[in-house]
Amino acid sequence: MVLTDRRRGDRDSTSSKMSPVTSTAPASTTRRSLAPLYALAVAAWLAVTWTVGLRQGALFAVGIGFGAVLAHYAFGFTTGWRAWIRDRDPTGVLAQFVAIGAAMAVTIPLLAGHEELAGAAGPLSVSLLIGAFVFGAVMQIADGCGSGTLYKAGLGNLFSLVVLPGFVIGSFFGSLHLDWWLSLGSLPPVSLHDHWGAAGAVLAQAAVLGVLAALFWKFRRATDTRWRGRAVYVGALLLAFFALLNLLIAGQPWGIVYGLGLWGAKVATWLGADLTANAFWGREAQQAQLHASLLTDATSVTNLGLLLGAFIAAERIGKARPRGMVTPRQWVAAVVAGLLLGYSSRLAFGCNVGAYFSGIASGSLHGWVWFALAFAGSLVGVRLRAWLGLKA
Amino acid sequence: MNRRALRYAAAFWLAAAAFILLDWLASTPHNRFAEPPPWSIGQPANDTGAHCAAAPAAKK
Repeated sequence: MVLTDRRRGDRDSTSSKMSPVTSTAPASTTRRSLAPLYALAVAAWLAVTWTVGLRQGALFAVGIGFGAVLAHYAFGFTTGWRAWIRDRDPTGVLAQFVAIGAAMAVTIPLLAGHEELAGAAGPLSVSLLIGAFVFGAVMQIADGCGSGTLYKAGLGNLFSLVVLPGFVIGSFFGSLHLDWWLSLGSLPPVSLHDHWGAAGAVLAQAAVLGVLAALFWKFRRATDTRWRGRAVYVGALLLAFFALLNLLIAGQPWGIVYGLGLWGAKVATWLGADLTANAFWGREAQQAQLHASLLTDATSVTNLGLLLGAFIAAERIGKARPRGMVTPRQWVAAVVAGLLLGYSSRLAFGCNVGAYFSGIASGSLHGWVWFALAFAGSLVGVRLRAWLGLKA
Repeated sequence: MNRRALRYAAAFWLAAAAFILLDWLASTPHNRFAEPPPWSIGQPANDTGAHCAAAPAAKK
């Protein structure tokens, strides 16, 4: 089973060997062909700003920034881990640590000093352990985490187009069952800055990231890295910058999965489901969000911006609209992977973005637990990927 | 240009646009003149619960 579309349009696969990938099209052609896309982006931003407001318009622009950085710099969470597990190439993981470290250096002091800002702090639960492990394994099969699946679908990657609806449905059902999973065992969220102060939390987390980086570096193998030069580190710093903007504007860190679950919940209510008695969706704030436009939701609007930004950036470097066929076996794999990704990410209180990136950047212990369990899951997932015959 | 992927991408974007439009029409009308300030920092906090880390309501 080979996903033949992986040569183009896939930051979580072989396309990232040339990071950032340069376009082979003449500059004048590129500028001309991209003009309608730029115009579309401006029109979409104006529409969101005019109809919903300046804050949501700004978040839409931040989402465009996220997508453009992810696509242009081939910054992938899934690939970064797989490159180390399979090839002992630490570049991708180290870039993630740079992004998280830069984000937390600003995020934690802001959270400690501004009660109006909320961190990504999830409970320490049995569901977190199970959900993170499963997510880590399945994201290697799906070849994409929350952000990766989202934006590759926007590029026309057929496999991700099949994964995404499953992700939405799985995320919705995960949120429906979350209270049952929490009843299996749960401790309240732990924010390190509440215990050690902002400086203590930043220093302690920086030390752990440093030790981990040293270990990943120590056990590296001389290998032909897929990331060239310092570009991926520039991308990491830009991601941290946009994450900071997200926090200042939305009042909460960058997330992906909540928005996908909300889309599923909206469809369910359109089909007649009554969610008022559900422990998650029955909350007053969630009910209000269910009845409001998704454009008023911070996570949804950044997700939409991310899709558009990634599409434009990928088009600019010639990676959009990947070639590909999906075999019947792959259809099944994509549907199952999408459902599992969505369900497990809700149990784990986020994906690579909401739990790993934003959780650790917020000083939340659940972010570290998520990282440990998801990485362990990826160790299994990379082997499963090979066993399934998916392209390396 | 890969025409097949172009069709997939076009179908995805059309479906996304239709979903947003349907949702807008089905939602409570939004009063854009009652919008919050463009940034959250320094403003009163509001509980949207709209993050991946949000947990269900505690059982009473």
